[in-house]
Amino acid sequence: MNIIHLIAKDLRLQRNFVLPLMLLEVTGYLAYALQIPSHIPGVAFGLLHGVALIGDFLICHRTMIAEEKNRALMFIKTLPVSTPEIVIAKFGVNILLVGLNTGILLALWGGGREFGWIEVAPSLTTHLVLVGLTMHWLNNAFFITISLVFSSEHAVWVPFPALFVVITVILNFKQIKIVLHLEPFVDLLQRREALFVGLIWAIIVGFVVMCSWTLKHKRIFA
Amino acid sequence: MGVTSIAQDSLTVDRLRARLGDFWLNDISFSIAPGQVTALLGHNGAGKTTTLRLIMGIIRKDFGHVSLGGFDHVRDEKEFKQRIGFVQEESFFYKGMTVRELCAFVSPFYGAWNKGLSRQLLQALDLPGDKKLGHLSKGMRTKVSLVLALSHEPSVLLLDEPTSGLDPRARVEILKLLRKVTHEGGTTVLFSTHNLHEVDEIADRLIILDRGRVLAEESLAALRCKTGPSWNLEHYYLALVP
Repeated sequence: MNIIHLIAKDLRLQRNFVLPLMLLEVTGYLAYALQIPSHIPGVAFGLLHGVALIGDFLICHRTMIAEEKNRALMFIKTLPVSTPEIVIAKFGVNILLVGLNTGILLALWGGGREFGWIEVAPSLTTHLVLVGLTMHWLNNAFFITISLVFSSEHAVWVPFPALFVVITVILNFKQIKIVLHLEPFVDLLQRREALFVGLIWAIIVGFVVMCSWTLKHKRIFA
Repeated sequence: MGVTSIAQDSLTVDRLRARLGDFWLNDISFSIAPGQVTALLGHNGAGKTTTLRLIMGIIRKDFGHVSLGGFDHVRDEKEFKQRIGFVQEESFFYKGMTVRELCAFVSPFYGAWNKGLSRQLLQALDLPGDKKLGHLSKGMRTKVSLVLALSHEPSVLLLDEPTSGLDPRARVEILKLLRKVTHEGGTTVLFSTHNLHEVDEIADRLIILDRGRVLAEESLAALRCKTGPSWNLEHYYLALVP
């Protein structure tokens, strides 16, 4: 129950941030996507994930800055709440917000294709939705881990440039796959969706455990 | 305003040890009997805040035990904190929340949260429920901390310099409330302060810390008895901690 209360608190604190962020992302994405010629398949979809990746980062930054700015983790620690509960709640609220953010962008993609605004591939499948969401959760979890382990939302800016590398990889994944001979591995993961999703979730759970352990063993909490 | 205490437990601190940079807190031991008001005295940097934060688990100890009514502060963290109310010198709240929102956020964590008492305390301390915490003065934020610390009717109240930097009116209001919870509710109190007048006014016992060690632990009544009419806490303190 404590986890739910902590998540509810974060959702309340972020309510004025999430809607403008999503509106900005949707309009920003549409402004670019509608200019992309339809004969370049996959670019608009790559761009969609690029926008969502920056959204993942901003969501993490916002949820962490709410604690950092007010040094509120110090206050939370005085309540009858365990350290793992604090960490799980932080990951939980991010999973919810990133799910909502990516979900809206994917719905925009699906709707766009359905109504003929966007003509390029791919069509939205369950596989694409699941893999897309999982990758965004992983991306966001990476930033939360950095922020919690170093007890500072400022720390998340250090790996921020890596986001652009990830976006470039997404946009050029077909070529990268060929050059690095990753086809068999990617094919396997594509065939065994559950294995792929399971692997990513194992990493996310690993991040949660690592953060709980680090915070528990830190000299000063927060 | 009916302030009651949920249990009569004694707080025991046993050989508490911690290192923070080049500062060492060395073998801090004391026990506070139920209903007793104990003042933690010492110069700046003596280890008062560190001791309180160690008890609350905000700072990790190197060695030692802290228990309240048989609950260890690390092993039984939740049960331990259910029985404690803590007021920090600086109130680290979410500044965007209103006072009422903060109370609503904190209340579900405590099994014994008393909504009626919380409302009464807000009223008695003249706190505006709809005001954002970021817009409150330091004194008001300390009062909010006190409301949060008292509304679950803890058996022990830990206060880190609760009246420091407050105007005389806020200071008097807070001391009045403290007297009420100790005398009427029988709550055990451990508070750190630099104000010797406050100690003389409300404490039963004092613990003097110096450079991370307990220098003295005395009952004020015994000291007054020993010294007679010439009793002066300031002289006693300065003789011990030059």
